[in-house]
Amino acid sequence: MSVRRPAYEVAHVDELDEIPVAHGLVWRPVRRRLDVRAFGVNAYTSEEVGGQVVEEHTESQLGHEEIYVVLRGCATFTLDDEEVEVRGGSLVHIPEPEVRRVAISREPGTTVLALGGKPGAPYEVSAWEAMFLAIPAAERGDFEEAIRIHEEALAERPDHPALLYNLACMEARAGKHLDALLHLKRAVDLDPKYARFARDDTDFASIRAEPGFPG
Amino acid sequence: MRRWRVVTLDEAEHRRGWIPLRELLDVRAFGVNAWSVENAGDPVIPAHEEHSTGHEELYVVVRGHAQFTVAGDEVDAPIGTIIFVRDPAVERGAVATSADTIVLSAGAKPGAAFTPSPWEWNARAMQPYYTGDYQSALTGFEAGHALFPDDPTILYNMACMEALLGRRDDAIAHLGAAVELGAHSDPLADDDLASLRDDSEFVAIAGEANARRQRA
Repeated sequence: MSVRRPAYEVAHVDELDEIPVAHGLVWRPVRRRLDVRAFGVNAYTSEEVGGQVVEEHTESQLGHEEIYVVLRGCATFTLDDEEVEVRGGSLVHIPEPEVRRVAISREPGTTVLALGGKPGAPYEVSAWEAMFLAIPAAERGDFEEAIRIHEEALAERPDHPALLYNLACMEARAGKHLDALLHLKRAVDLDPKYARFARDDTDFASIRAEPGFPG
Repeated sequence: MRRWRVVTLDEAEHRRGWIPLRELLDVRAFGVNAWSVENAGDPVIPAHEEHSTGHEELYVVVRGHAQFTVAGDEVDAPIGTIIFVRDPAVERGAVATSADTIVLSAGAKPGAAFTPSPWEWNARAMQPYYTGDYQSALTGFEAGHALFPDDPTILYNMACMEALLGRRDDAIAHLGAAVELGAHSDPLADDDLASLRDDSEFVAIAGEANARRQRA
């Protein structure tokens, strides 16, 4: 049974969960905490100078336009081949999904708020949220928790190949070989490129020799 | 196509405290604006609800300090506070409690592709009104009306500008249409419509507007 959420909720960016991702990037999940359903919104912090406050990526797959608001500190954004310093109280709008973007903290505690959505389409929760959320659990070897996080995301997006592929990775590492094979096969059926990914993925070392492993 | 753009909130175009980010940046995926006030005690987010748009709204205090009132509750909001109003019917507003306060707002309707709301046309057309340029304001409202013919607030504001410009017949026609479509302002209390107060058609429309307001 779904729980009715309150009419409004309040949070402070410093009180949000801190999920370490990589390269100093700490994800502070705003959308997930507040269950925002109309657009994507998250915060990122880096306590150390030189840490990422926006991970290197494009939005080609999701087609999102994005706004990054520097709430505190200062960050150097690299947008394709151009660098720009952005201080607190300024923002970067990137309407073009193909632009490769990354931002590095230039002051301790730099905090960036990201807003995103796809023009002309209703917002859907992005699969990467579950993948980011599962990273700490996977790194401490708690694959059951990592599996739970992926299954929760798949309840909303049952045919998302990247979520199915990552779930299979966690299941293989948890020793759930049959589940891993089934979910990997489903991911490959939905998007054949995952067969190529699986061939060299060390997460699948324990099931690579099993019959049915995608060739 | 411009691939990216950096905006400093202090240097962006301000329209009486409104920084129209969505319009300035041509954001197409969600609504986004910022609100800047100089003094403690200034309203930074006007009291409103989002019933007509169905929007979820998220407010972030980017600078300074504000006191929000949401669903009748008082919420202290220092810099870094995020207030998410899920229910479009809930009234929300905020007053700055320190000088130089900026609040960023983002909004959209869950399950629907974003389209800019008539609110933007209203807010833009209001700018010349503040300086007494009622003809330019009317032109702006007419442009909004062409896009959103059933928006009662745009029609109401057209009536106000026409009354100020001495165009009695147009003002009566548009005020009547606005009331039919649910405009919730009180025409009798609106000084922009003062030139019509002795007009019998205006009195009848204003009576209907107030009867509807009481029923609501």
